[in-house]
Amino acid sequence: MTVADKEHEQKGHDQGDKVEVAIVTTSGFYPETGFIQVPANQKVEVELKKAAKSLNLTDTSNWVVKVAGRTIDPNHSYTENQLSGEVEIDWGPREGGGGQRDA
Amino acid sequence: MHELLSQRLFDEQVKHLTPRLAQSRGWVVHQVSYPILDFEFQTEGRTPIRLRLNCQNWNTQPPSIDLLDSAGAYLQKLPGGMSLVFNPSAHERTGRPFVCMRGSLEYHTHPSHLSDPWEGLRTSDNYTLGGILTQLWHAWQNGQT
Repeated sequence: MTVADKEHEQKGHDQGDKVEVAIVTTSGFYPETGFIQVPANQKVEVELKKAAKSLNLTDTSNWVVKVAGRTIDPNHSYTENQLSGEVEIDWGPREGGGGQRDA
Repeated sequence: MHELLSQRLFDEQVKHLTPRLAQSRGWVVHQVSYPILDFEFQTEGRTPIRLRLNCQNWNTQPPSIDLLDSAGAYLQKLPGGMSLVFNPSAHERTGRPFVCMRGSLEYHTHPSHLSDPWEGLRTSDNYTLGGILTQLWHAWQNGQT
């Protein structure tokens, strides 16, 4: 393998270690436009905390994190959540209380 | 709450309910003008549901939520497999199926829930207009197909 091949392989590997993230909430998007590039081995919650600060969200303890309709674990990385490429994270309060059939 | 203050808060909270958000979530926006929020949830393989929130006096009181079909007619009967949040029995005020969830006027004025007041919820991020819509969207998603 030539030096150029090794550089190309390394570049491809590095690119594979990144994901493009956008966070969707009803209080706005983070980032405001487009996507932000983050390490694929970074926990999802890191960007969620940044989004909460940016969007002035103070009470997100009950919120659920979904990607393409699938609930993911924010305490795991993008890789551990089997996410790659462009990742649009939907974030909002889970289904609330009520719902008794006698009501 | 004074109507102008109510409208100002409404406008502040709905400004992020954008076409980009609607596209991302599969929502159809029918109307966003005070005091009405009219959204429809759609996804492949599910019967759509349309919710019209009347936000008069927001947020001193929660929105009154009508359950509609895609054409805008009141649902007299719910589609099958709906989450418990969507109560198929007749609400004593409207006589129709209703949203039985914290954040709806029909819930908080129901005799079974008078001990669960809106007052303690209305400033939470979970119970903004977008938060209530999101909770209902999740409830609809969690229903069976």
